[in-house]
Amino acid sequence: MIGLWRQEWHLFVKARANVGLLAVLLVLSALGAWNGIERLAAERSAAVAALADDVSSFAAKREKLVQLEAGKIVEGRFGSPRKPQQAVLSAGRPVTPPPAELGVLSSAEARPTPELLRISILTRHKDQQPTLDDPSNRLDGPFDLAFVATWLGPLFALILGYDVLARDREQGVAALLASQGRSLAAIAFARLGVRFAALMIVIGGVAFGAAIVTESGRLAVALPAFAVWLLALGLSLGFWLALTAVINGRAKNAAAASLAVLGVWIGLSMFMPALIGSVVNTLAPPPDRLQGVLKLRSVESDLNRRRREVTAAYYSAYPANRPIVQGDEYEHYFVTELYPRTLAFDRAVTPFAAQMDAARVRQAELMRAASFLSPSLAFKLLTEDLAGAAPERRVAFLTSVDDYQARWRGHFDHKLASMTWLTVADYDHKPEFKRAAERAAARWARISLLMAALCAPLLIALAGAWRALSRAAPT
Amino acid sequence: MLKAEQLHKRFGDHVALQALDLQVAPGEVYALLGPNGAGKTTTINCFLGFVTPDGGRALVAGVDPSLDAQGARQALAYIPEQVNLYGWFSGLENLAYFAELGGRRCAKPELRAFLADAGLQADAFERPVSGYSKGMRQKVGIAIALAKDAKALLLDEPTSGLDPRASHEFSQLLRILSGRGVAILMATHDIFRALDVATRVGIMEGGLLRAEVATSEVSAAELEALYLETTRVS
Repeated sequence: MIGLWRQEWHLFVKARANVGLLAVLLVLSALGAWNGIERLAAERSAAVAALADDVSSFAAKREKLVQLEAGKIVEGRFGSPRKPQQAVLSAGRPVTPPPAELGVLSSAEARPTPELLRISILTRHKDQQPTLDDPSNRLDGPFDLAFVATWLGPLFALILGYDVLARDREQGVAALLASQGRSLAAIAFARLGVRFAALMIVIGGVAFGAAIVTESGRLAVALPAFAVWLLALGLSLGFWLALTAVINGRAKNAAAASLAVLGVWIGLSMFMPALIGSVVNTLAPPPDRLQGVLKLRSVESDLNRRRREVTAAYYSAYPANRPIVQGDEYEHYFVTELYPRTLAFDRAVTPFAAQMDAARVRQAELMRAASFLSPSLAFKLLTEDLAGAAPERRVAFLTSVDDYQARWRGHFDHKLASMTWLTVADYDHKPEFKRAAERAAARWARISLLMAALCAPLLIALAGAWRALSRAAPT
Repeated sequence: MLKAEQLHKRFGDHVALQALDLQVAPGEVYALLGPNGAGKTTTINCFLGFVTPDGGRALVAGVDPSLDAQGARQALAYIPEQVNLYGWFSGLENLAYFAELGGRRCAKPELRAFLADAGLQADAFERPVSGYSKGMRQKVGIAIALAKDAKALLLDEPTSGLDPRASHEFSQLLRILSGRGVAILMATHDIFRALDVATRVGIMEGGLLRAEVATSEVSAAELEALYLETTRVS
């Protein structure tokens, strides 16, 4: 059997068309990997710079406060380190989610989780507006390794495998092959096995290189995830090659086989995911995006209206308190208007944003369940999960962000409300963000479901392949 | 070595074989003559296990290919009318590939010897087969049979389209193989080639073996007359 595989490998690599195809796939994989590496490097350097700025900014404020209290410097009108309405309101603390195991596989557009947020006592919802797309719109995504492995990998598998027997049958070689004493099934499986190995070496090799480059500091986390992904890649490619085996077992010529595999690819990779996306959108409709925008605007305009009413009523009751010089309100504006408005805004918008995220999670759950009908969809969802795109990761991160913001506000808001000066102790004991990873059990349950969604069609396709090839006629 | 017992085969309404009895002993060359559709290729396909007979049985070294196709194929070699090989492989590489399929891993010198024994010019060994003539590809087919060391050889119109010199060389190779004890069953339209190389000739028509003669007992003219007479009857 090893001798047969050795000969089949030789036959495969000696054909220029095969080597050319693998070279094209190698270039495409490398481009996808490069995009992922570049994006991840930019994201990480932005996070590192933001965290460093944050540390130095607070250190500078604290030092200035120490000098103020010692009477070494005089306080200016702006940038005071002890007035909370100036020192705290301007501080946006950078926070980042726990890094995804294999972020390099996917590019930012496909990943709804923000990789860097700035959290202050003001609302985060104006920067992070709750939106939700039709899930099928995110299926193709940018040109990254997820795209190459999900869509192009199967296409190359089909191109390399559609005629392993059909062409021999068409050209009259199959009879000579079959007369040698090995079954056509054994020969076809060896040929497809060789193609499987070549595709795994190219795509898996490039992905492995990209993972080593980007995750060299935490290989203990990245390598098991990579092993899982490689297994999923094998299941996915195995399915497509098994399909070519079914078609090779039946097709009388290469042209018929090529039409059949093209039809199957379009059906399972394009039509079925789009159909699933539409069905999921119908079963779990997201809150309307327009409604979201209108909601934000109505909250904003309601708060403005109430501000005008309260201010007008106050000044009509206390006309002596009207500001004499324009700008006198400046010191009070943040405390009497901006902060309360922020709290009111958050109270109104947070449930809506949570509803959006819940809908996103519900859609993802339905997509995963439906991915049993499309191995491409299952593999795409699994790859993006390992790359950090699962909405559950976003929910876990934003929950920890909201928890942190509540602690941040709790630490400062009594000083802000009373406009009491900050002390060095306030700086020294300020809350710090603690990254909370998703529960591992929940993550691996998702991955396991997607693995099952890849295994089931593979087993069916292998059974079909065995049946078709064991009955395959040489002519 | 090759034995057909009451072989029947029908494709829809067309009867391809009727009660065919045939036997080819080791070292014997048996030529099957007959017009197109007489059942020659179906007979060969029954021995190869490509076609399952509706009745009777074909035996290759005692193995029924309809029950154990791989077992039967281990014992035989097959050369079709057109020996189609992998064009991007050289003759040597094609031979290595098919020898491996036949269960033999041969060293390069051994493979070269098989090609040389089959009559292929040495300068063609390493050239891609896409540039080979039909005769050269037939020689690689013979080399594959030699490498397999098969006990029986099935040939389906092997000299069709070959020039006289190539046909002559091919006949000589068959004689060498039969001299080594290989049982050879050859379907052909070429009466003179059959007379030249075969020990016995069977004439088929309409799925029936209508006549069988030893080539030592007939001249070319007699065999041609017998062929015309036999195939006219139907």
